[in-house]
Amino acid sequence: MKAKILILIYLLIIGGVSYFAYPIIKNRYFQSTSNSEEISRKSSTANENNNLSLDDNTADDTENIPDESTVDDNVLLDISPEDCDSNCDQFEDSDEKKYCLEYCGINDNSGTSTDCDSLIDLEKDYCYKKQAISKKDFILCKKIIDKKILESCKNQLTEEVLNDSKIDE
Amino acid sequence: MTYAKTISKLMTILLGLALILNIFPLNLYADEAANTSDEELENDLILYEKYQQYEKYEHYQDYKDYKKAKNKYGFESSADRISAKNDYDRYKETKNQIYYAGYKKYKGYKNKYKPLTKYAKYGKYSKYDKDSYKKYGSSEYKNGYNRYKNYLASTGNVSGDLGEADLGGGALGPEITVGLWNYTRDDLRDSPFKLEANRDYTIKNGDGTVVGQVLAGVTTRVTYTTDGNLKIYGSITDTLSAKEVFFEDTAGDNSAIIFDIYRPNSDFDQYRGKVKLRYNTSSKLTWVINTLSLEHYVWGMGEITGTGDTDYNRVMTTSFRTYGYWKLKFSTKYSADGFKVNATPGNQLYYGYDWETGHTRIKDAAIDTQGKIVMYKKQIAITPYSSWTDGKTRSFEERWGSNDYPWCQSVNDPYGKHPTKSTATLVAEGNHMVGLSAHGALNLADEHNWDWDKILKYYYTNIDIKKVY
Repeated sequence: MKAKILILIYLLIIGGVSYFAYPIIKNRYFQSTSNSEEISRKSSTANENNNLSLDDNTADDTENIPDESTVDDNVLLDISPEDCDSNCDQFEDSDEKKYCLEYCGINDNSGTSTDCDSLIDLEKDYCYKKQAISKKDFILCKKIIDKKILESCKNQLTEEVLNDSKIDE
Repeated sequence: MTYAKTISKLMTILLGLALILNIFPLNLYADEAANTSDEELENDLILYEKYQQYEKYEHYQDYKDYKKAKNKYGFESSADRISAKNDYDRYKETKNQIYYAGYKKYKGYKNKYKPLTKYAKYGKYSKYDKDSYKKYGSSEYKNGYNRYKNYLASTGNVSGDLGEADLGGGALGPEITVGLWNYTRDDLRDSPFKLEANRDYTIKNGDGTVVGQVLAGVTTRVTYTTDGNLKIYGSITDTLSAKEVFFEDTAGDNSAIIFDIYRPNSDFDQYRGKVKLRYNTSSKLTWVINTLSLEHYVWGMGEITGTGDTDYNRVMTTSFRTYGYWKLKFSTKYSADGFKVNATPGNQLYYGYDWETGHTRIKDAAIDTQGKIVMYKKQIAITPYSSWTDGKTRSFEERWGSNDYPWCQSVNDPYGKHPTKSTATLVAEGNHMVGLSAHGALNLADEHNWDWDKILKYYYTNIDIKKVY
C-alpha cells in the first residue's frame, strides 16, 4: 500500500515536471529564431477592407468597394510637424506638397484672398488659416474643415500670441 | 520496497536533469527578475537599432502600395478631385446616373487611395528597399527592440499614461533645436562665423558626410560663398557645403562638449551640445542653431536668475520645460529655418552654458523637477505666464478668444498684483495675464511657503504634473 502511494506521488511529480518542462524545452531548444524567419508585412488598411489588388490597373473594381470607409474625409494627408523639417521635400505630388507646406506654414503668404468664402475645398481652408494668423483670430481657425489644417492653424496661432510672453524677475 | 527504491532513483535522475536544464518555474522567475547585464543591454541596443531599419524598410513597402493606389485611384488635379467629390455627394443624394462616373471615381479615391496617403512621406526611405533590411523584422530583433525600449522607459521612471507626451528620449529628454541668431549673406561674408570646443569635434557637411575632425581648442571658420554654399576653413582644407554645416563631439558624447561660438554682441558665447549652421533659401539668412537635450536647455534658461525661492525656481523650470516640450511636439514656426524654438524672450530667453554655470540654482531646480511637465488630461498643457497682473489672471478665451486651453482660467492673484501700474500699462508692457503670474508665484513660494506643484495647480486649472522621461 505504501509503495502504491509512493508510486502515485512520483507519477504526480513526473506529471508536474513534464507540464512545466515541455513548453520551456520546446521554446528553448526547438523554436527557430534565425534571421531568415519569414516576415509577413502588415497589410495596408485598404487591403484589409477588401480583396482588390492594386497591381491590376484595368479591372473596374470600384463597384465592389463599400461606400463608407473608416478614413476621415476631412484630412487630405496624415502629416505631423516632423514632416516640416525637410521643407516637405519628401512629398512628390504637387497637391500633397502644397498641403504639407500650408500645414507647416512655410508657403508663400503673398496673394492671400480677402474673401475666403469665394474659394472652394482646401483653398478655402488655406485662406482661412492665413487670415487667422495674420489677424490673430482663433474664430477664423474654426471655419477650417480639414482637421490637420485646423490643428496647425490653432497651434501656429498659439505660437504667435504667446510670442510676447515676457518675464522679469 | 525494491520497486520503490528503483522509482526513487529514477526520480532523482529526473529531478537532477530538470535542475540542469533549469526548467523549474522558480528558477525561471529568478532568471527573468535578474538585472540585465551590460552585455545583454549592448546586444539589445544593436537589435533595437536594426529593428528601426526594418521599420523603414516596411514603410517603404507601404509607400510603394501608396504609389500604386495613387496611379489607379488618384486624380490628375485638385479641380478633378473637387468635381468628382461634388458628383459623389450628388449621386448619393439623388441617385441620378449623370453623376455616377464621378461618384464611382471618388469612391475609389476615398476608400482605396486615401487610407494609404499616410505613407506618402516614406519615398525618402528608398535606400532601405533591400532584402538585407527585411531580416531585421524577425522576432529576435523585435523582442530586442521591445526590451531596449522598455529599458529606456524604466530608466526615466515615467508616469503612466503620457497621452500627447510621447517624444521619449533618455533621462535628459528629447533633443531640442534652438535658433541662436542669424546672419545675412553679407554679414557672414564680412564677419565669418567661428567656433572652437573643449573636446575634439567632427565637422559634417549638408549630406551628413564627415569632412573633418578637429582637435579641442582649434578654431574653425565658416563663411557664405554663393548659391547657398557655405565654406568651411581654418581648421581643415577649404570645403564647400550646401546649405548646412554640422559640428558634433568626435567621441559621440554631445552632452559633454561645450562649443565657444563667439556670439556677436553678446556675453554668452558657450553652448553645450551640437551646433549647426543652416542657410534658408527663402529668407536668405543663415541661422546658428544649438541642438541639445531638453533638460540641458532648461539649465541655460535666461528668463530667471535663480536667486528666488527654491520652489519658485521649480515652478519656473517646470514651465520652461513644458513650453519647450510643447514646441517640440507642435511647433512649425521655424521649420524652414531648421529649429523649434528661438533664444529670444519672444520664445524663451536662452543663454546656454555660460548662464548654466553662472546661475546654478536654475540647474538645481531643473534637476529637482527633471522630466516633469504640466499636462491637462492627455494634452501637453502649454504654460503661458506673465510677469505681473492687475490682481487677477485672465482666461485664454477672454484674452485670445479660444476655448481650446481650458486649464488657463481666470484666478485671483493678489500676490502678483503690480503695486502701481494700471491694467492698460501692464498689457502695453507685454503682460497678457494669462496662466501663471510670475510675481504671484514668487510671493506664494517665498512669503507663504507654497510648494511648487501647489502653485502650478493654483494658476493652471485641473492640471497634472507628469514625469514624461
